[in-house]
Amino acid sequence: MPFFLALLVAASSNLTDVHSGDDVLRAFRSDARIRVVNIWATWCAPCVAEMPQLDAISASVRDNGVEFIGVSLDDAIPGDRAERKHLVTRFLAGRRIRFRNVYYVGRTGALADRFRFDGTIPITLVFDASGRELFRNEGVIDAVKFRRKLEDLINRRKR
Amino acid sequence: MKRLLLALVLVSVAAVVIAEELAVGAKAPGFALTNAVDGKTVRFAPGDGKLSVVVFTCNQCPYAKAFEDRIVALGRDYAKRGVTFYAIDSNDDAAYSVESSAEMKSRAQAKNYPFPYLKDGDSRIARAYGARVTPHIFVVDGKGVVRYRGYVDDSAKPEERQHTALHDALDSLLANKDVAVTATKAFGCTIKFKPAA
Repeated sequence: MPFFLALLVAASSNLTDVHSGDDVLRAFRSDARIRVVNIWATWCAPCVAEMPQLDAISASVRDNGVEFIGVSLDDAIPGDRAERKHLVTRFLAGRRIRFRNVYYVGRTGALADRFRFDGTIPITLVFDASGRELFRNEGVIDAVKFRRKLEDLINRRKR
Repeated sequence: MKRLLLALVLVSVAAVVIAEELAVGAKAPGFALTNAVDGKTVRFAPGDGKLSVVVFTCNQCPYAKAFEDRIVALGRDYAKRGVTFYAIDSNDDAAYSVESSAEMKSRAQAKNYPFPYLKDGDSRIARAYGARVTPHIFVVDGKGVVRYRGYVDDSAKPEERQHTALHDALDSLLANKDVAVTATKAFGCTIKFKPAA
């Protein structure tokens, strides 16, 4: 395994279990002023398709106090949890996804209720540091528009 | 003003893309679709006096597959009590060949589906019901009125379910009682809609 890939696997192999939407919001760095939650699963084709774009946007705004956290819903499907986590880890490493991901082990309905979405993924929600939702994108992101909205938020907060 | 206009444009675009999920109490749309198993046309005429279950599902979605055995068992059990199940695959098989009628036929035969497995090739029926995901359930009473919509159970893991919503709704309706929980959030893979012509 190439060294950089090994590093990525090492970085993502400690996928933290989260039990609730509040756990997700607590997982952010304390200095992250804009907090992006992307809810996805490896079995969700549109989610997988948008992942590289999210990763690129995340990398480009990381130094502006924006943190992305992916929430894998792979555990929603029956199967061995350790194996599924390993699959997610390998997926993230294989696609060279750099933003942090957590592994949701609660009930999907509870997460949908907490974040007030209809159960369709992907969904990407943007919060401020106090947990107030700033905007959301239901379905696959339009990378140009999503990046522009984030940049608007960054600029507004700089003023 | 510009912002307001933009917001209006965005709202109208969203309305086109995301069809409204059929409300409980609404009249269910009928359909005539081809059963992938035998090539015959199956007609659903809401108001035919029968309690019916319309199941939007598909071949490939792991989440739908996790419910498949349960839906087959429910279909078999409730057929004995006069309930008609219609399984519909509305995914665009031009973009996803695994959703072709031939693949549907293999799947239905392998699992011995006790109900027709219908191809909604242009996704028109999914749009008419406002189905979003697989599996997505609509229970229609004998008068053609939607009485339950949403998930089968609240967990894809049989051992973790706490709410067997479809089963409960059918039992209530068969006993001429009101359904306790009429709407839930269906969860699953998004339906891969065929682009509108």
